[in-house]
Amino acid sequence: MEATPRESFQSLILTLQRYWADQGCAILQPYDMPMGAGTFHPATFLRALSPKPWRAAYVQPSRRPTDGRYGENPNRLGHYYQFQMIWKPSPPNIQELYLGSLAAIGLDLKEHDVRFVEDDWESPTLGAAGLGWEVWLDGMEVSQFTYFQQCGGMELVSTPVELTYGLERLAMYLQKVDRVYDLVWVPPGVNADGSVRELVTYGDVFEWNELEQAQDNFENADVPEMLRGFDIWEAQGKDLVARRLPLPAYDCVMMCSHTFNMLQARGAISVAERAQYMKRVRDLAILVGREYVRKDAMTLDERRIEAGRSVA
Amino acid sequence: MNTVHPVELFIEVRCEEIPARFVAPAMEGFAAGLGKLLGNLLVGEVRVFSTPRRLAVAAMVIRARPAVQKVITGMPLAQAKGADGEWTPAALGFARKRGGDASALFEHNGFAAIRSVEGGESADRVIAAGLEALILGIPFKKTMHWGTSPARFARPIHDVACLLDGSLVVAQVAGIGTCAHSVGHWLLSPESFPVSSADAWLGHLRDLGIYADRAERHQRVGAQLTAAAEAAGLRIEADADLLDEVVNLVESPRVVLGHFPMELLKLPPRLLIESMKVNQRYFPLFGADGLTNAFLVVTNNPQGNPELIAEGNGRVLAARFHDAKFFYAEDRKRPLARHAEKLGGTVWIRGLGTVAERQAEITTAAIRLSGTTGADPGNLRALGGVLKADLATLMVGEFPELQGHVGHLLATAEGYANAIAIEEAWLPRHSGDKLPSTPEGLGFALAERMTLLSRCFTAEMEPKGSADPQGLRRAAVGLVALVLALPGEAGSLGELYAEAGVPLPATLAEFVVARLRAVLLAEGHPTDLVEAVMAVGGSDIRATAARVRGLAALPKDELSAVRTTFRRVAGLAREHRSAAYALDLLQGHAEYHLHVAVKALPSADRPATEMLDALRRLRPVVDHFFDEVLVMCDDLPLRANRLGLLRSILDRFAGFADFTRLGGE
Repeated sequence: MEATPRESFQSLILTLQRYWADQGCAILQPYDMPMGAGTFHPATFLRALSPKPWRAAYVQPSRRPTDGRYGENPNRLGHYYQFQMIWKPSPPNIQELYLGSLAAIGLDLKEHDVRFVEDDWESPTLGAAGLGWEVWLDGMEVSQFTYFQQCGGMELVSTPVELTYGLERLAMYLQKVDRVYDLVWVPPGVNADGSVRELVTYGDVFEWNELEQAQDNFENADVPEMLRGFDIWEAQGKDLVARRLPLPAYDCVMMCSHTFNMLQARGAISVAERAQYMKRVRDLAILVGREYVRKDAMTLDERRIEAGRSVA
Repeated sequence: MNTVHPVELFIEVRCEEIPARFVAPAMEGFAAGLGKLLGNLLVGEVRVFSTPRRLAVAAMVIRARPAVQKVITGMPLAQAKGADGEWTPAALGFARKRGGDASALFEHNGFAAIRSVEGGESADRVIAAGLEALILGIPFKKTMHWGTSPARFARPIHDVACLLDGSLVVAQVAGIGTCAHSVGHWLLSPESFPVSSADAWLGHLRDLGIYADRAERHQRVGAQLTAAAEAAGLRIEADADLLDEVVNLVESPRVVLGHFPMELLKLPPRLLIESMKVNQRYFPLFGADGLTNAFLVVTNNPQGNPELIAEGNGRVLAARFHDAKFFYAEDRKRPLARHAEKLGGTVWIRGLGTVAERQAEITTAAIRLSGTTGADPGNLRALGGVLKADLATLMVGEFPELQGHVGHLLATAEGYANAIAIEEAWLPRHSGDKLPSTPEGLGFALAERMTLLSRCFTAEMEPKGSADPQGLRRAAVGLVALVLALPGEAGSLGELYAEAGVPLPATLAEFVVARLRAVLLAEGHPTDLVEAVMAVGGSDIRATAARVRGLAALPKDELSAVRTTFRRVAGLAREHRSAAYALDLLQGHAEYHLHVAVKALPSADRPATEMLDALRRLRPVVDHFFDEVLVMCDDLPLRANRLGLLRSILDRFAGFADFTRLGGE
């Protein structure tokens, strides 16, 4: 029998994917670049800019270099998973659908105290902002619920709603575990071929990684190289926008943002410089966003023609 | 149809969770908007109801204003009718202007006239036409779009119920048609139920465990908190702001008792308390020995499982506090002096140097002020070296509101003398807050504000309009409170700044004096006394406050007499330039007595208490003088002599108050 979300981390993910797939979401995979939050995934940031309807859900590893604790803190991670759902335009019953997802992962809401507590969201590096809540389950923030109002410095015509689940936190609650590394990833049991299935914990998968990444983020990462790297990614991003290639240019936005986060963890950016760096990332994100909107209005054939390719 | 008998209008907007802080101003605006829409259709007050998911109003309205037929007269018939007996173009114009034609015109007492109907608008039409603008016009600090609707509201609107005398008023709001029903708790009673009146609605919701009357809910939450604390043998500390917020976070309140792991009580209590209140909106519980590991949480699910909810909430705190413990342990691995080394790389205010420089500047000023504050310069030097060191700690990075407190705790552990001064440098945080208890704390607090204000004003960064990013108004109010608390006599702004070796731009002196005025008015002193005293200068903060407070503390009758008497003195003598008078022109007893009393007055630079005593002693003498002597007599030399005598009183009190500004009672 398949494990429930109360029994394993992977079941939690599988259940959420199934639930949102049933609501008509495209189940995507993580984007293959480092980022601080699922919002950076092009399926959210870029798609939000378009007036066209869109529904998608995916897991995205989020890297937060400053949150690394060498594996010594039972609750904090420098690398963790977000489950992200984006739906545009926001449907009127989205709160109900969201609560349905909590029920789907095995929470009897009548037993608990679920609340929507004001929390406006802003990403100064993406020029994005939204209004919404933190969703509290018995006082614990389990999701971020945001109606995007602005993205890439632009007001949005069609309002997307974004749901972000903190998967480890939710799993710790479901599994009643006090230390993230004790989460069951694969529960012990029997495999399809009758062989013994061994327990795999979150710690087995990630504890070593947390130690080394924290060492690198806080102590090792080469500051002058990263500062240079930031400049290079920024210049390349601008160049790609000039060449009317917003999608690869957006990759540069993500690299700038991640490099900035690494520099922050190394304590290499003063308070005054911090605002400057964020502005540089935002300015690039805005450039990319404008170019994306322009090309979004084109057909694929028009894009091929603009690229100098032949049209079938 | 009885159009005058009032009927009830009920409107309920149901939406997704409105932020707690938005609710009060929104309801005020909703009620005002309704009043404006209804005008004189409204009878009596608008009742307001609110929960996080519903904003409702109820009011008695007249169904329709009675229609009144009026005769409106135009021009005399001589102009209204031509020789042919037909209406002239002028008369036809008059009719057209009032929506009629030739057939509507008639003769009335020698004038052309027309009938017009006024009033008669029906309430349901007014409401139907104005409902959308009324609801979308509810004021919120922030509004948003949802879906593809062009409307803005605090959060998405689900439904609008609108009933007049129990019947649906058909209208559209943000693309949603009005309805005649309501719903209960989103989880426990989501079924809809019909609404007939506000009271029936309120009662039905109450049966469902929802308290839509905010005052009633407030009272219930308060009572539940007290009862739960008592049941646990503990107590909560009153926190009106937190209670207000929590009441706006729930519609079906139920208090649950929770605990966090005992071992975490080793963390600084202030951190635990702030974290519980600010981050989680919990009410910490206190026992005989102070903070305990128990807390109360106000939930929105009266049917929830209390053990499960308590466990979950306790787990959240444990997680949060474990992080704090990690930070605290990391921070304590290095002495504060090491943390302070990082401050050289942190910009204080763009263009105004680093935090390290800022720390040195405050310390230097505090040491120079030690003659006034009585602080030990050695202590100031030692503490000053780590005054802002906690800014570089992980703990303050995570919990910025603990700045100062963390420095104090770490410095205490390292054995600094009077380490609490590091925290006291931030006092007072707001008006009415406590003041530093140590002379070193007083010194740092004073130096912090004096230098902050001086640097910002010198750099022309004074507050403009409501923009005050550096909190200079609050700093100046704090400075006033600190100066008033100084030991000894010191109190002149100029002298203090000179002592501290810090420049005092003229604009800054005015700014601080303006705050002093605000402080004195906030203390509740009569405006005329504050104005009279401050009109003669207020940069000696302590003396100014002493004069105002001294006057305001006079018995009511005496204060009234002082006002009358000295306002009269000022009224007569203020235009008289000279305070000279000749003894041989003094006539009679009263005049001579006044002269003797004036001669005995202390010189104008004496302390406020002495001047006030002199004023009180002088007053009956002046009164007697006014009773006996006609100042504005026809004999001009005599008049000038008397005015001179009065003028000399004004001159002696020139540094005390401007009597012309004294008001009546």
